[in-house]
Amino acid sequence: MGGVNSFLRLFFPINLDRVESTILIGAFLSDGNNQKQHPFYANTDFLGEKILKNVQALIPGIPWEIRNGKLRFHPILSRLLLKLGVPFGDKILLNPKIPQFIYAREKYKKAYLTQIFDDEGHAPTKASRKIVLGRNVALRGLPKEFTSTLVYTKRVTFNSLPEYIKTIVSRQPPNLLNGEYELLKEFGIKSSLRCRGVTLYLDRVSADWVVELAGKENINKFNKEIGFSHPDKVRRINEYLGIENGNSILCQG
Amino acid sequence: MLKQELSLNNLDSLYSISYPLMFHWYQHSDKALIQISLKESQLLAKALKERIGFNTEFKTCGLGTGSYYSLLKGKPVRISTLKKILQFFSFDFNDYNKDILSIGGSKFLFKAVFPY
Repeated sequence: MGGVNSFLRLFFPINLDRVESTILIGAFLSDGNNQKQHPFYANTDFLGEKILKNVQALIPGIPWEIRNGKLRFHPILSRLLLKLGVPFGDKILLNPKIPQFIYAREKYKKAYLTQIFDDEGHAPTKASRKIVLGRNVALRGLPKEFTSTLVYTKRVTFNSLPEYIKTIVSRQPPNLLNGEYELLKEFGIKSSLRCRGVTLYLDRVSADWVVELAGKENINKFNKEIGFSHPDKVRRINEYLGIENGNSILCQG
Repeated sequence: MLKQELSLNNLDSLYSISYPLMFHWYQHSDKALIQISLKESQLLAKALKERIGFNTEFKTCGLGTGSYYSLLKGKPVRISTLKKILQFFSFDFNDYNKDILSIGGSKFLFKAVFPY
């Protein structure tokens, strides 16, 4: 702990009340992991660069590295994230809620949603015709006679579950996804929240939930109000909406 | 494991939300190292020696002699150590914001270049 090279010069206190914080909350509640010693973010492409810039805006000169295809940071970031409401550990097990901080300002909500859709969302295509945002949550209270029938890593679709299992699963949506579904409503964007199925993986049974946005006008509204920042997803949604140079055919009437 | 993580997440009462949201040096991991200015570091060490004597007596405020000499030489000490000393003297943590030279936490020096 604490080799000379790892020291960094900082000015305290660090103001966290800024939009960069919300982007980091979104990232570390999606493709990141707030590990106590080495908080990391799993993307090293455009999104990795985006997250690095945002971290550096909060903590100039923070040491970082890319190891095993992940962007890892100095552990001071884990404490900042904890203060922002991102818990240490496994999100699937902990099932955290959206941190209160996100609700403080309108621009925070937008930046958070953009980040989570960049990380966990699928842009619409002509085949899918919808935006899909997915999250998993570990299930509790499932009877052993059911869990013992599950095959490792093989998903059982929600519709094929026994009715009493459906009831148990329906009562345990991921708190994050539930919050994100409600946030979309605040922006007037219609979506649906549903469970796709359950899977036995590692030491847990988890449910796979999605928020889906369908309808061109609805997707267009999402694009205007929230939007993606990842260039590939921006290109895909623009293609789907028939947008060229920022002009939508929906806007042209 | 889960129980441990939950207790860690609820451990620190310092993490209650208040606005504007600020992160203070004393909210970083207690095990991390911190270095304050040589002047303040030496003042603290001398004040300790005056107030509680030397060697084993330091234990009354949770301080080993190693930490004492680190302070005297302006070297890094654990955040927990600095907090204990400031609490012992009833000093305000925030008064030391301007005296912090650097803060540690990991033995690794990270560096990579984008685009990756």
